Parts: sequence; C-alpha cells; structure tokens
Amino acid sequence: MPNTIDWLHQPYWMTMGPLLTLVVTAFLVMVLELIFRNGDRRWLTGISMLGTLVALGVALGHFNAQPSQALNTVVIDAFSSVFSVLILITVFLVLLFTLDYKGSNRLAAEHTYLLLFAAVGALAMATAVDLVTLYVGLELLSIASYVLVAVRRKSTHSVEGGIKYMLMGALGSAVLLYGISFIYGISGTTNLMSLSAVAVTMYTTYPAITVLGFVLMLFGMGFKLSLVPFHMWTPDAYAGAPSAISSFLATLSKSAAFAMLLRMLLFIFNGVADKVFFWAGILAAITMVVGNFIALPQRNMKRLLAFSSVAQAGYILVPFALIGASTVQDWPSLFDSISFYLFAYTFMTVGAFAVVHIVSEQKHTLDSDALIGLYHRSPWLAVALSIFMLSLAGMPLTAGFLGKFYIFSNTVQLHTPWLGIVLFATSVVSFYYYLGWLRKVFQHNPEEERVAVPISLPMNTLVALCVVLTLVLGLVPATLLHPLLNAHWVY
Amino acid sequence: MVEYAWLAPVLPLVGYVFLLALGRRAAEGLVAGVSVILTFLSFLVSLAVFTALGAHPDVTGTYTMRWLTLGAHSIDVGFQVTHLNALMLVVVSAVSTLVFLFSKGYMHKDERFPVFYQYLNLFVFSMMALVVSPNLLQLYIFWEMVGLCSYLLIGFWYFKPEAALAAKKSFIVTRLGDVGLFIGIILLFLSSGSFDYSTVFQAATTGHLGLSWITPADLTTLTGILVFVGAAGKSAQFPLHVWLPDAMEGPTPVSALIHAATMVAAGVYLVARMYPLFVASGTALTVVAWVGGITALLGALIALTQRDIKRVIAYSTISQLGYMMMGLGVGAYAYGMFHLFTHAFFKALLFLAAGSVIHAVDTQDLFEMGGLGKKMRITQWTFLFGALSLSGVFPWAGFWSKDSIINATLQSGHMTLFWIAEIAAFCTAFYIFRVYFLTFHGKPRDESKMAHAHEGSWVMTVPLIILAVMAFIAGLFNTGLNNFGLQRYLMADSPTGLIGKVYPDNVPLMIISVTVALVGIGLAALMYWKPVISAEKLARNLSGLYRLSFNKFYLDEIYYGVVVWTGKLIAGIVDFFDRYILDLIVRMLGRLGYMGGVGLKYTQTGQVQTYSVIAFFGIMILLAIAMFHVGGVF
Repeated sequence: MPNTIDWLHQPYWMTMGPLLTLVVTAFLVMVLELIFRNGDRRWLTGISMLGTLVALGVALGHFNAQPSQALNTVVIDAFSSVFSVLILITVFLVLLFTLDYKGSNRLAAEHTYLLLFAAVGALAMATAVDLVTLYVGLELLSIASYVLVAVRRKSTHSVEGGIKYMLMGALGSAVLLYGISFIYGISGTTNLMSLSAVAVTMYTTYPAITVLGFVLMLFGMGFKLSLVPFHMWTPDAYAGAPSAISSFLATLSKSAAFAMLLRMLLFIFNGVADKVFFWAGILAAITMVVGNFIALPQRNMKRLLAFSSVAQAGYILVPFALIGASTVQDWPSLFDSISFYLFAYTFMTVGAFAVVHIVSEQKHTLDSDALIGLYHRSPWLAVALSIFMLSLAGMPLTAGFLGKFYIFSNTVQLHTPWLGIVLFATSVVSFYYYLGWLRKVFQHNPEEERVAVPISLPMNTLVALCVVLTLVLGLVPATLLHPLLNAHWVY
Repeated sequence: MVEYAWLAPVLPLVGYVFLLALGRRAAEGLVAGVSVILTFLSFLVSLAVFTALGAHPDVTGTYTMRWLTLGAHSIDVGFQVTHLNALMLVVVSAVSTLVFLFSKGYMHKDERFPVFYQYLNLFVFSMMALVVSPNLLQLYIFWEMVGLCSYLLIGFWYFKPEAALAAKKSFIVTRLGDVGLFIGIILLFLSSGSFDYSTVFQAATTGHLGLSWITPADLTTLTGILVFVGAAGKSAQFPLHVWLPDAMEGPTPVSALIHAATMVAAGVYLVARMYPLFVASGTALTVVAWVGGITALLGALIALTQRDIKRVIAYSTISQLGYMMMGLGVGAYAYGMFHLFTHAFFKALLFLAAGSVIHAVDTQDLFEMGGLGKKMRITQWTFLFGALSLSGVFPWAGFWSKDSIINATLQSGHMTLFWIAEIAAFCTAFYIFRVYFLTFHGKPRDESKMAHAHEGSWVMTVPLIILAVMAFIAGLFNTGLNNFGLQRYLMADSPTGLIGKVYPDNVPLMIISVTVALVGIGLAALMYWKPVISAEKLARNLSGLYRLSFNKFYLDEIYYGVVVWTGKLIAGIVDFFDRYILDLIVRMLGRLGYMGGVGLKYTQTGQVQTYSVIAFFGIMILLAIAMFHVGGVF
C-alpha cells in the first residue's frame, strides 16, 4: 500500500545510514579506480577504510535508537545495530589486511569495492525484514565473495576455490529459496513482520510444510555458514583465496549469515520455536564433532583454520538451537551469547589469519612446520598467535573462553545439557590442534634459520588490534556485554 | 581523592610492566630509580586517600563494574576504600618505598637485579590490590598472587638448594591454609549468594547464612574458622608457621618487606576485614584469640635459642603476628591493627638493619659476629631503636601497641591469655637484646669477617634512619596526645560496634609491662654483654628445655612424619591409578579420535561432485527424519 507510506517521515537515515554510506563509498572507489589506472593504488583502500569508519560512526551514533522501520523492509533495533557494528568493524580489519598486498603480490584492484559491496550485502542481511530483500543482500554478499576468492585469476588454486565456492553456494541458495517458497506458499507474504503474526496459524494448519520450510532454510544457510555436511567447499576456498579474503569469508560472511538466519527463523517461527529449533541443535552437534575431528590431522595452516571455522560455527549454532528450549525472557541472554561469541570469534580469527599470512609469506609454504621456531624469529608474532590460539581453544582470560562460557551456561540454564556436553567435549578435542601449533611456535630451531620475520606496518597494526580486542573482551567482558545487556533487542 | 585510590596499586603495576619491557639487562640505576619513584607516588596517593578519609569519615566507598553475570548472580571487579584499607595502603606503600631504596644497595651487582625489582613491583601491586579488593573472589585472586610473588622471591637465589626448598615449603604450607580459605569463600558464596563483603556480613549478622545441611550459627562458625585457616597460613600462625623461618633464605629486603611488614600481615588484615563474620560467631573469635596467644608464646620461646640472626627475627615476627591475632581475637580490633601498623615499621627496620649487618660481614651466625657497633654506628643505633620498640619500652612505638593488646586481654577477662602475653613479652625483650649484644657489643669473635665490615651507602642508611624514626614515633598516633586518633579512625568503619571494643589506658599495667621488658633486657645484658651469668651453663642446666626450643619444638619433624608421609602414600596410590588405568583410557581415546579425523579427511576428495552428493544425502536423511518426526507431509 504505497500511498499510505508517509515518505517524508520515514526513518531512512536511521535504518539505512551505514548501508548508504558504504554504497556511496563503493561507487566512488569504483569510479576512481577507473580513472587512476597506474601506480600503487592502495590509497583506494584508504578511502574505503575511511568510508567504513564513517559508516561505523553512523551505526554507533544510532546504537541505542528506539526501534523503528522504513518501507516495511528495513529496521533499526539492537539486533541490526549490533550486527552492523560487527560487520563494519570486520570490513575495516579486512581492508587493513589487504593493505599488505603490494608490488608483485598485489590483488586485482577490483577487490576493494567488491569487499565494500559484499559488506553492503551483509548490512542488508542484518537490517532487512523482508525475505526478498534479505535474499538480495545474501546474493550480493555471495557473488562478491565468489569473485573475491578467485581474485588471483592466474592461480589455479584461487580459481578452483572460487568455482567450488560458487557451485556449492548456488546449491545453498537453491535450497534456501526452496524453503522460502514453501513458507511463501502457505502464508502468501514475504514480509517477516506479517509472517510472525501468522506463524502459529501456519504451524497448526500445515505442521509438516512449516517444518520443511524451516529445515530447508536452515540447510540453505548452512552452506554459507559451512555447517556439516555442507562444509566441504570451505577448506578449498579458504586455502585457495588470499589470506585476507579467507579471513573475510571466515568472519564477515558468517556473521552476516548468522544475523540473517536468526532474524528470519525467529520471525517466521515466532511462537512455535519449541517445535522447530530442535533441528538446529542436531546440526550444531554434528558440526562441532565433525569439524573438530577432521581438523586433527591437518597440516596445512589455512585448511586447519577453515575446519576450525567450521567447528566454531557449530558452537555459535548452540545458543541458536536453545531458542527452542527458551521463553521470550531468555532471548536477550541468548542473543548476548551469539553476538559476544561472534565478536570474539571475529577478532581471534582475523588475527590468526594475519599471523599465518605473515609466516607463510616468509617461508613460502602453508605447511604448519613453517611455524617452527617462530618465537625465535619474532617473539611478538609468537605471543600474538598464542593468544589467538588459546582464545580459539577457549582458555580463560581470553575472549574465546568467555564466549564459550556464556554459551555453556545457557545450555545449563535452559536444561539442554547434552549440547553443553558436546560443546565441552569437542572443545577439548580442539586443544590438540590449536595447542599443537603453539608447540611448534615455541620449539627450538637451528640458529641459522632464525631470520627475523618482516612485518609491514598494516599487519603490525592489524595483529595488535586483534590482540588488544581479544584480551579486552576476555578480561573486561563488560565493555561489550554492557551495551548488549541494555539493548532493545527485537523490533 | 578516594575515587583515585586505584592509582595506588596501579602505579607499581606500571612499574612492573615497564621493567618487564626493559628486560633483564637494564641498568641498575634506572631500574631502582623508576621503582622507587613509582612506589613513592603510590605512597603519596595512599597518604592522600588516608587523610581524605580522616577529614571526611563518610567518603568511604566501593567502585565496581560488572565483570560476569551467572544467572541470578553477578561478580563485580573494582576497588573499595575503607578506613582499614586506607591504613593498609599507607603501611604497604611506605615500607615498600624504603625497602626498594635499600635494595638498590643490598642487591648491587646481583646478576638478576632487574628481575628482583620486577618481582618486587609485582608483589606491591598484588598486595595493594588485595587490600582494596571489594569482594572475596578478587581478594582470593590477589591472595594467591602475593603467594606467588613470595615464592618467586624466597627462591630468588634458586641455585642455592636451601632457597629452592624453602620456596617450595612456603608455597605448600600456605597452600594448606589457602584451601581452607577457598572452601570458606565458596561456602559463604553458596549461603549468601554473593562474594561481596557487605552482603556476606549482612547475612552473617542477621543469621541468614544458610545451607541445608548445617544450622546458620554453625555455618557462621565454620566459615569463620575456615577463613582463619587461610589467614593462619599466610600470617604464619601455629601450626602453619613452619614456612616463615625457612623463608629467610630469600634476600633480606624481601624478608623485611614481605615476610615481616606486609604480606604476612595479610592474614591479620583478612581477619580484620572479615571481622563482622567473626563477631557473629563468638567461637571463631575465641579460636583466633587462642591460636594467636599460643603462636605469640611459641614464637618467642623458639627465638630465645636460635643462632641465625634472621631466624631470630623471623620467629619474632611469628610471635608478633600472634599478638595481633590475639588482639583481634579478644575483640580489640583497633589494637590488633595498631600493632600491625607499628610492627610493620620496627620489624622492617630490624630486618633491614640485620641485612646491613649481613651485607657487611657476610654471615648470619650470631656467634661469628660481635663488636660491630664500633664500625657500624648507624646500623647499631637504628637496630637498638627497633629492639626497644619490639621489647615494648616506653615511649617507643611497640610499647603503645603491644600494651594496648595486653590491656585488652586483661580488660576483656582473658586471664590466661594475659599471662601468656606477659611471658611472651619477657622472652621478646630477652631474645632481641641477646641479638643486639651478640652482634654489636663485646669482642669480635671472627676477626677475619670483622676486618672489612663497614656501613653501606646512603641508599641503605637513609631507609634505616627513616624507619628508626617511625619505630620511635609510630606509637604516638594512638595515644592521649592526639586523643587516640588511630583507633577513632579505624572504628569509623563501623559505628554500630560490630568491630569490637576499645579500652582506656591502664597506667599500672603499663608500668608492669615496661618492667617486664626491662627485666628481660637486663637478663640479656647480664648474659651476653657483661657475662655475669654464663649462657652455656644455663643451657646445660636446662638442657631439655633448651633443646626443645632450639629444635623448634620438633614441629618440622612432626610435619615431616605426618603430612609428608601421608601425602607420599596418597600420591603413590593416585600415581598408580593415573599411570596404568587413566592413561591407558586417555591414550586409546586420543588414538581413536585421531583415526576418526584421518577417516573424515578422506571424505575431503577435492571433487565438487562428492561435496554435492554428501550435502544432498545429508539433506535427504535429515529431512526424512524431520518429516517422520512431525508426522508426515500429508
């Protein structure tokens, strides 16, 4: 009913400010890239980072805004704000990461605005409340990601990873759309707010179709989140892509996909959560088990981080599954767990990829033996990597520990201890491969091989940022928890 | 000002981080300079907080932020400023500053000089953070951290086997106490739902400290005693005192700072901090009083016969800590803390003076010294001030504080404890003047060692002089001269009488106490200065008693027999179980897991066709189960 919309008083800027800022920046960078074709063009990345910071400022400025919506399609609430902030911080970190590629190692210049467009898609996934808009956001993110993985056209690994990712991604989109079409078929609407109003009726009338819709949508997103058994493209794509892009895939596209999945399922299955979310728990358990065990024999550092990211997605899916066992009063605590873990996961993962990148550039190999004696080559990198690994493994005093701790205590509070036990047990398994790296890092190596590792300024900054953020979240979780606790969660 | 109290612990932490960054090869001057300046700033902050509280008693406050939320409970971190805390801050920072300065001379040319200062800084940070902790959990964290620093510093010269052993012993013995404290804290948390002092006290005093298996009154007593067990471990109270004399293997400045003035007082501080809990349970308080009394006497008796100068002073510390505990136990909260305050100065002084002697003659055996007074005027005079203060001679500091405690035992009707205190006081005067005369008077017994003895540089003498002045005047902070300022200050923490009583001066008792002290000093003079009475003959005549005292009542041997052997037996059984049963299971699990991983790895064929097939079957199987579960599509 377009005539009822008051065009002048729609809160466009509130709901879409960060998104519009990034769109403008992306087009600007695209045009500039066409005009200035020569020389070191990393200043384009600088402009992109500036745009990201402005968008971040806008997002933070509206952080505690009263929930509101525009066009019946985009909303601002704590949920969208938290995820927008996370997405923008991640884009900033990844852009910082790409600054390290220069000279003969440089990436095709398109990567800058492709990253920005991917981020625009991610922001749409975090803010939209219409299935069509959400899907468009997802495809914007996905298609940009496929290209980014294959950004090194001359490298077979890169192209192979890109193609595999695209094929599996297409499969995922198909499954997701199939699920959405069932829901649309029985409800006749794609608007999440309308859907949430009819959710209970939908389930009582067509229980099987509703469950079918849920499961298919979950599986479709499962491809993007690399949940088991839809994870198999992950190591190929991560190992083939440049490390900066791998870190982007592991963090940004996962955060966005989680945001979208949560928003979608929570609205569509509002009131019947206890009937359907159970299936997410099954998927979480399988993912945690397979992801952790398959990582055990890995020697390739990036493939290991890929499997680690599979397992980590399983952890994050746990509070998700708990929605089925909860009442509305418990939701804030579950959202806190999910978003806290995603923040923690982002910082430690980007940091780990950064260190792996630096080390593999020096040693020209991705084999984890490249880490041997890192402590003697660069104590700083060794300590930083230790912090990331301990955090990924979930050792106290790091962000990863508290993230897991919150999730674990959720499982206990909501009387679903079996998920907590799987989480705990598989975390123990993960110690083997995370701490296995540490053993190599602090191992002695022959004196003559102790060549100091060259680290560029952007990488130093990036690693330092990730270290600080990982530790701050681990030592003073209140810095993040406090804003989360005070948020008005769902529109 | 009070809201800046966090600076007091943070400044030494800055020092620690800075020294850590400087590394192990930093210049001595820089290391010591930075440390001294930072702790001095910390002292100024503490003093400002102290005076701010004095001017406005009601500005005490708790500053916390939420750290963790666990369901209905939450844990805060932050800091708390009370009168008690402020006093402790001043004591710790003041003594630390002087010891930091002294160490510059004492540790000169030690290979690990910067490391020594790193540990010291870390210790001061932990100790001050312990003092300002607003809840029991935070206290426990820093409690363990000071324990760790103590371990590192006792074993600082780890290449000496005795030092390594002593470090281990102190760590293990205090751990026995810490277990008690930990259980106590957990019980308090379970029964009151909080780690915060105020909540715990509220529950304890109103009888709401409840668990299903125990009555509130019993629980109060139980937790009180458990907390005291922790305090006894840290403050070397009988029977957990055995680690402190061995801890003298550490460098002497460490003995002065950690094992005399500050860390060992943490136990006393803990009892004072938890005082409402102890008051709520009369029994726990009685236990504190008696353990304190026994420790005071036992320490003094053992100190009578020891040959090592530092060990005498160490036993004296044990004995004096016993006095403080006894004071707290008989309800004289303010006097216990007052004695802690004066003791910190005169005991640090005695240790540093002893350090100065050891530095000069390179031996710790009293019977290899003698006649040092002529070569080391300043050390002699400052030691004398410390000794007079310890003995409780009017008007030195120790007189005022010790006499207040003895007075309190009498006034509160603890007659046995009163006599114990007086006997211990007599022994105290005797043993410390035995040390004084043997060290500084008479003829040198070992000429070769005396020949090159000389006074240390100004960094060593200045702290001695300052401490000597404090050992003289610190007692005046709580006399009629300033209308008993210190006790009024301390009692302001709880105007409702939750924290014990104070008593008016008792002049006849003062005269008796001073007489007792003077008799002790006189006896020491007759035996070791002008040898009218032969010490050897006396020892032979009382050989049983002498051996009992010299061998420290055989407590170490008893410990070895009971604790160590039981421990070894249990360890043997557990070792067998672990090695042959648990290990086997763990190994098998590990092997299986790894093989599972390898198996899964083979699914990763690199063929995108395989990927799709697996995904397809995954979807199909799960869908089939889900559809079956929901009752079919049609």
